[in-house]
Amino acid sequence: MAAYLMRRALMLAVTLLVSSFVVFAGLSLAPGNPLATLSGGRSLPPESVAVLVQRYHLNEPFLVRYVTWLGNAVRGDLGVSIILRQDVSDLISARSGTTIALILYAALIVLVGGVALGLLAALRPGVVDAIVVMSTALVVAVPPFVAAIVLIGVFAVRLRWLPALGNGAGLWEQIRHLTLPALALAAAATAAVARVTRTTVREELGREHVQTAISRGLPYAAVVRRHALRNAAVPISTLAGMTVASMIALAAVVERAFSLNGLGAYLVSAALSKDFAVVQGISLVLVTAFVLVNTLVDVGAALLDPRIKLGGRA
Amino acid sequence: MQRVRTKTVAATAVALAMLAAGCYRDNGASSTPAPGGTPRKDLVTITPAGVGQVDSVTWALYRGTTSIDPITAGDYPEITVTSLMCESLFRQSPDGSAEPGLATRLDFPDPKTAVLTLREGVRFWDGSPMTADDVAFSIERNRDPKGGGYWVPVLDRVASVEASGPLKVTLKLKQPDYWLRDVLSYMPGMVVSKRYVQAKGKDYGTVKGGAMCTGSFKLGQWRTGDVLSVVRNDGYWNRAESPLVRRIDFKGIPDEATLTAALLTGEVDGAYLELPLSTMEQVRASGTVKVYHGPSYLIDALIVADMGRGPLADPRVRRALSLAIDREAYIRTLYKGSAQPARALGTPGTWGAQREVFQAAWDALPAPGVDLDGARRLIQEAGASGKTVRFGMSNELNKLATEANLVKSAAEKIGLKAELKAVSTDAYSGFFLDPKARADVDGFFTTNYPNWADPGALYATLSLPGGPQDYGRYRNPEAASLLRRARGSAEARQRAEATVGAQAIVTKDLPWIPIAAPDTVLVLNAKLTGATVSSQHLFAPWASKLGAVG
Repeated sequence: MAAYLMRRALMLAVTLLVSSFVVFAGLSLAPGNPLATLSGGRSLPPESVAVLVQRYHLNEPFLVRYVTWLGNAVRGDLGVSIILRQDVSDLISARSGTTIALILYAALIVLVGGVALGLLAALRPGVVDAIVVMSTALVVAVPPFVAAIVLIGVFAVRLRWLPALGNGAGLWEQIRHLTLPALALAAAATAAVARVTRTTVREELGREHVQTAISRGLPYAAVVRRHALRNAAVPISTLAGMTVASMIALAAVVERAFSLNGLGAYLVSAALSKDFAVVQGISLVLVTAFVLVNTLVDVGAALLDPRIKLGGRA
Repeated sequence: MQRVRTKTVAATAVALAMLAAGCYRDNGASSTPAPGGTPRKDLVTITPAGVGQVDSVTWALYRGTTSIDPITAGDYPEITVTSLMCESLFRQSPDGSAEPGLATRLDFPDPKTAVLTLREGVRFWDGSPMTADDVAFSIERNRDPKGGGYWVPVLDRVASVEASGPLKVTLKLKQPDYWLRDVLSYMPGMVVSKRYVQAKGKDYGTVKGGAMCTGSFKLGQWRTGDVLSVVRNDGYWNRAESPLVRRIDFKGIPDEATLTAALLTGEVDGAYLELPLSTMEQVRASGTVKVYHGPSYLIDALIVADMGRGPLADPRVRRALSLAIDREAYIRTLYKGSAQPARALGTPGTWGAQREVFQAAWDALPAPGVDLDGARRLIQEAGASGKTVRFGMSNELNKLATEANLVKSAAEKIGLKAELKAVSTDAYSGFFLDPKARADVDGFFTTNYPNWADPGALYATLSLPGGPQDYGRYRNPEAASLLRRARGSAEARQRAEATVGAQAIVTKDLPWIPIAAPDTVLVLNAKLTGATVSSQHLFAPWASKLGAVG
């Protein structure tokens, strides 16, 4: 196990190094000019332009800038935002709470809601099953931005149960403000998890060892818990883990739709305004989070299922 | 003067934000723009003054504010907020006329000397008095090319600034400049505390450094990406104008659907819509908010990318294209009536002084109607039939896409071939900044405006060689000399006459083809009233009278 973890850690480091280069290079190659941002789009006298170029090191060679940036990033210094003239690390840490809370909230909905619905459908064939199958088939195809519009329209504008935008202050208000965004983010994933849960639990229930347990008269609830659900846990947790990882990217859409002050929405607006340091910083953080979550999911699956080989090409 | 990019950026980002297809006032569904645009009667410049005190108001911007330093406040989210907190030496009133502000007079003892007389008893938020030193320092900051400020070019006739008495500031001029009063009526004329700015250095105007001005609102909480609050300055030097609202929270809401929901639920109390909102019908139908229309300095236009190249180098082709553009359709589709076809770039909203002169000149210009036969004849005369014109646009911005397709179909109707070069919104700003990007197209689109109510301020940016909006290298010595004369004339009437002279030439030469003049659109919660409804909200305090409905 230790060797396996070591190997994963090494792969993690390599992945991060490569992705940091891609993040940095991608942005440098992208069209557009930070000078446009700095000058507010106005034509400035040459001496003003020279001052700006120097202040933001816009004239140094690419590799020098990359190495400097990476060196600083490792020490937690992601540079200074051109637009806001604040430290990028500060800007990121101020916003990461919202994004983390949103993703955790959504993940909770996916796991609890998805597994519960799936179990319900698996254990209650007939009308209940049909309803779950049909409704999840519909919801699984709804992208978060559509879900956001529908949820805002129904729950914020029409019913006025929940606020349409912003973060809210205080724990209760924050939960209220995050509920619609989390639902929008979780909707499709919940449906997917419900469907997978239903299928795998059904499958497990039909298997020999489960049938044997049932015929021996073990309590049904215990059979479902110990034999069916436990075996179904690997596919479910793998799917849920991947879904959570994908939420890191999708959060941008939802945050923007609900005007949440999170990393994703900030990434979009920084990219629009060519705020290089911020885009690079957030991309790096998001890529790191994505890779980390995926690694955790793999490690978790290995722990859940001893059959997964820890050696070789794990 | 220019406001180029704001345009762009505004076009750019805003675009993302709010534009889409506009829709407007349903006062009978047919607020038919008067043909050719006589000033409309359904426009208001202010809403009735508020009566009751209000604790807090939430105001939407198309994105979060990034700077509250006047020298780098250039786009809507910055200037709308900064103009509430910082006051300028002269003040633009809602109808566009200039009034005394922190200065009471501007005298010219000789044509190359300007003397500002400052108001007595003005205090910064911290209680310290505003001195001639602060004023000279503030103007110098704007003039300093190394300061990274946006307004260096508009102060180019100033040679030196000096505090010449306790309440006197003397400006030595390189050439006579009678636009100076107007230049000092928005960001370049805003006064900041010298001591405070020197203490904060480069952090001034950011979250770290804050700000120190004299206005009736001062900076409250500012969490970038979330909220910027301005709170009432209870020590405001001008008691008579103390605001009724205790706090205004500004939020950046880029998404149209979110903004609509927030306005309908009352989570946002108000917003100026600089670009048309596609959900306008829904907003209008709601009882929660009211929609007001007012005059504005804005003009939508097609900029000719190079006056010396391509089919548009021929004035007959430019004229033909202008004759073929269906402005009514554009206004109907995009603005749902809340704009008017423009005869010239300097539209009625920009006539801050000498209205009769501008009105007479406007009436003398041909009304912009569609004349396809005449246009085709011009194209044939010019031998341009079948030639290709390329327009730069961005599909990410509904406004640009609508505008570009309209002009494309106009070009095709009169025998030209038209191509659209679609770029990202980011790359779109390249047309304004980079001659190489311009070399790739024959024309591109702008929403533009002068920074004060004078058409000359806009004409000068595009007609003077090396001006801030000299994109297509339009050279007409006569127009340039008339505009220089306008700026150098002490008499307001002479300035206006020289300006309309230049206007006649520019409108004939068409370095930019005027398309439509959009209204200022204010959406305000029905419980509130008192905000101004004109471009003034970009340059001067617009919420002094904002309060609860009586």
